[in-house]
Amino acid sequence: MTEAKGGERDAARARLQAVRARFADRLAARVNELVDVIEAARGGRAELEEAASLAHRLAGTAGSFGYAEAGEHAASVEAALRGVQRGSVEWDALDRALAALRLHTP
Amino acid sequence: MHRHHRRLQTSRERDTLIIVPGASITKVMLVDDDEDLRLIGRAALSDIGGWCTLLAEGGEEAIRLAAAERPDVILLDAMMPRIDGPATLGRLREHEATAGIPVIFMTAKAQPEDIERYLGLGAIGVIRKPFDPLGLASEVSRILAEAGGGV
Repeated sequence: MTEAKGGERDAARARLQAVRARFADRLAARVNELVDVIEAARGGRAELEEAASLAHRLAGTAGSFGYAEAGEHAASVEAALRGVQRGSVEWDALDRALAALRLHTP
Repeated sequence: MHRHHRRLQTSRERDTLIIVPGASITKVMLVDDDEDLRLIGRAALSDIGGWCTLLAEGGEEAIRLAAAERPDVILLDAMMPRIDGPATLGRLREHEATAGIPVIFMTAKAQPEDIERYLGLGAIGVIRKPFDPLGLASEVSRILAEAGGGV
């Protein structure tokens, strides 16, 4: 790893912060997309896999941008979706997990 | 397990020998199907790590790009559509141009049995997602240094 001087390090952190800041809107849009796909999955269950994939990716990404709680709730939504797919989790539990995710979305 | 031996860069500063693990890295490749993850990953590896970062959104692009660019290390998402991480690693190992490139898996599913499986496939390490962008490059350096014989 290249040893950065103080000024360079500050500039690098500022660039990183800018990338993080731009994610806030993206996070809200991604949660809205997830809500829409889950809504569509209530009619037929073909969308459950797509919703689980969206939730999985959000779980890995949100925390890396500093939204740790949103990432953890996205992981809970993914687990609930997998449970609904298997028939071991009720939709009510999925709705609660989704509500918690929305609560932690900026 | 594949072992990749790596030269460590040394420098003298105020008569103190400083060993910087993984300092010979110049080029890394990040493979992930999530666009936002690639953005924060590149910021962590290029802005904080100071490395040239190649990005690939899937296994096929990763295999093509790795053969052309020969990165020093590949960070590979485990769970991807079409060709997943383990399958991508297998394909990289089949080609002479890419067989020796060290691979580190990145995964949100990092149970001990998953980590054991990835190491068994020939990865030199596993990094958990989510990651701390300020610490990602250091983590990569540490894993490379340990795989190269320990520092």
